Amino acid sequence: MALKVLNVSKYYGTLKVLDGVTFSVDEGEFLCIIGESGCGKTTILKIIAGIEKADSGEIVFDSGGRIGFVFQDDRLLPWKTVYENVMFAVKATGFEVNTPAVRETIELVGLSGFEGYYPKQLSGGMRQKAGIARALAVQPDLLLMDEPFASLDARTRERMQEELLKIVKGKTVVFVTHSIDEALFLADRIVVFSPRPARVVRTVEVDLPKPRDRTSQDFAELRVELYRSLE
Amino acid sequence: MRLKSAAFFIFLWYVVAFFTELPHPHEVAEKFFYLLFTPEPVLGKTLLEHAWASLLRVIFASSVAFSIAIPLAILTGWNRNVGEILMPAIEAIRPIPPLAWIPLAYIIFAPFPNTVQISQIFIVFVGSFFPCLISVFDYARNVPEEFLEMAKVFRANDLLILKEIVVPHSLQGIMTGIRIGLGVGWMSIIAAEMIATSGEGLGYFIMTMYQVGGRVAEIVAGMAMIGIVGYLMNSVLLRAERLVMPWR
Repeated sequence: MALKVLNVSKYYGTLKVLDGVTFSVDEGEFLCIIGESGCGKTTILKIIAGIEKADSGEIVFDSGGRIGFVFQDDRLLPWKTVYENVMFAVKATGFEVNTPAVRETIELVGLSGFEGYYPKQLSGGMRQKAGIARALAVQPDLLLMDEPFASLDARTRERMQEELLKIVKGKTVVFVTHSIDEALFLADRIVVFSPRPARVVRTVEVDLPKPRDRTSQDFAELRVELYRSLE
Repeated sequence: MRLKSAAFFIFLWYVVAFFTELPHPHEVAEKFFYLLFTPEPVLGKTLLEHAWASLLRVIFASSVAFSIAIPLAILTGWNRNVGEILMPAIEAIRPIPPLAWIPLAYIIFAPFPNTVQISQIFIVFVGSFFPCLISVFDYARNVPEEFLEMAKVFRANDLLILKEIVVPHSLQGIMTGIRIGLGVGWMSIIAAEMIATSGEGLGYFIMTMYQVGGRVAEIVAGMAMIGIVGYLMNSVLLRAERLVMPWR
């Protein structure tokens, strides 16, 4: 077990956003959280990342608690190149500045040759890749991803999903999305949130082998099942 | 477009000159180019030397102003507590025109042997300090929350956030602040030179030309020089912005 989220509740003022959310993430597991927009998916990620406090409940890290975070908007610093943006996270984490390791991470996400580019010079997909490189460069025990592909066009999005699985193979990932197809393609397990205030409605194991065929019968059946549970 | 604008301006000038004491453009141009390199007999200096003297004062005084205003603005903009203490006081002093400080400056700096020079520097300092401070402050205070949240996720400490997020984000404000500060400083020095004897400088030149008997072509030539230097400073700095911020 890498992470346990135990009975976490959260209010914004009098608005209850999380209502006793409980789930766990296994070591090396790719977990997706799906739910309607505004249901509190981002909030739980922020609580796990430690930048927001839960009003009650507990977050337990069984292995180390170092977090890599990939944002929905890329949040690259516009005045820094790809290389410098990745380096920012490395320095922030307090690591020795290690140029070869940073270059390797940039290569891993497929941005070799673009190290010296500013975010403005990159496409949306490439910016998200730079964001992923930044998150991986801190050697996270847990990778949190908040709808990272939501603003990409459909084809780019599918390609990014395929590449992501290769990049984060073996890592522990919590990935938030409101797309059932995205969750089905990526996840080992899917946690379904209710509309606000969020509770865990159900958990679905996705046993299909990866890489998955989006057009297969099994895929279609699981999709129907998930649609029902979101209704 | 610029050519049309210049032609229109010169035409208008002729029209006005025809009805008033204003010298004609060609007379001013002749005087201007003559005085550019030939010393004017009363003060014994060329226009370029006068311009250079004024410019040096502005650059010196503004540099002092900027090197205080920029760090102060970043600190007050970033740290709300410091900002709350300092900004109301600054907002109260800011609307006082630089020239209003002249009598006070003379009194304060009277103990020094070169009271006039120091006072002039001080006037320019006041003129360029506040525009720069306000411009940088606006940027430092409005660092996007998303960047700060990102920095927090990766556990960045305050020094790193200051160095790699707040300062670079404020760079546009710094460049604008320097540009506007120099502009106001330039206006202030000319005015300050008109009030007290300073031996050289464009403001002093214009005032002297008036006092020795309304030498109107010289006066307007001096004014033209003020405009040209101001325009050049502005466009050089606009160009520099692109060099300093290649990511834009």
